[in-house]
Amino acid sequence: MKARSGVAAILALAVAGTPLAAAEPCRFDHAVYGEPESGYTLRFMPLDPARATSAGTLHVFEIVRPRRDKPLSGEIIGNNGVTRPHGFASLDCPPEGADDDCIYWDGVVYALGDRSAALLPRGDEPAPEVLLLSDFGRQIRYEDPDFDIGSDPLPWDVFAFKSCAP
Amino acid sequence: MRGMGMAWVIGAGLMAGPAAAEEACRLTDAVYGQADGYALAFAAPGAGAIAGTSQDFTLSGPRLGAPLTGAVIWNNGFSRPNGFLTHDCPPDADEEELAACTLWEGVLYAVSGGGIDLLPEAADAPAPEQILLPDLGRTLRYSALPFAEALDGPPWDVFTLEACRK
Repeated sequence: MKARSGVAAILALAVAGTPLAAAEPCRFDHAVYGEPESGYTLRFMPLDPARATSAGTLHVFEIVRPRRDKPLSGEIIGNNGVTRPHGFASLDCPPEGADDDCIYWDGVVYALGDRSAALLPRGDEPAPEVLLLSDFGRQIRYEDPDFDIGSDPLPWDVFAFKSCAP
Repeated sequence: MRGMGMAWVIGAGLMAGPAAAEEACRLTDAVYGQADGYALAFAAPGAGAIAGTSQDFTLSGPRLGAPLTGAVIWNNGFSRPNGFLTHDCPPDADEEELAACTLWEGVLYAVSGGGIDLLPEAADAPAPEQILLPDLGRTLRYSALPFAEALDGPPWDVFTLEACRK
């Protein structure tokens, strides 16, 4: 009897939708992240196959930079076998394919939770609170040909959830 | 939401946990582990270490055979703690030989309940709760290790503080 009423309560929650459920978590593919020191912003967006460069593309995003007109293109790719979500930031890659000149950063991306680092969720799952783009800042510093040490803010590798795009 | 994220990002730098206040294990005495038996053991750099080395470490595990040897090295300029893991490097290896016997390289991050930071450089730095070696598991699985294909369960990229050797 007790067990049955428990199940009924769970079902009721699922069907009725509670106030908690109404504040829906942001889907990862709508999440916006910021790096407060530099003002760099990551804008994730739903995966459009036309924008993906690889069959293994898991996520696409833009990297908006202070005082720069053009955002960098971001993409996270997974592979078969033992795999990690591998991120790339690029600018103006030729249509026939990326080369070293147009790739500004590449590295594994981790979701940081309460206690530890984990692999990324899918695009339709809730957005992680914090993302680590491994070695992002240093690579931007050395790979962006227009980077001005004197005036350009240097991004750190950790981005915090900021808002949810509609 | 945003406030929480930012606290997460800067928290590590500001807060010293109660554990750290009681008896902090130095990073160079610390041993980190994973459930499946992989372990990272840190030590102060040996006498022959190249300039900029902040720590030596080894990676041992049930399927690895002899432990892999590693070091954390900071370079000049805008620097990161660069980790290297090697296997059977010849003594006094030249650059080409070093490249051939290096299995993994990447930036080491310190992860704790309060946030994420670079692995500390100071000789007396306290051991962080966890250490992240980006892309470690995948890299070893597809490395030139003679037994790499046997690493069906390669290490995960995060190790948790388990013991202090002093």
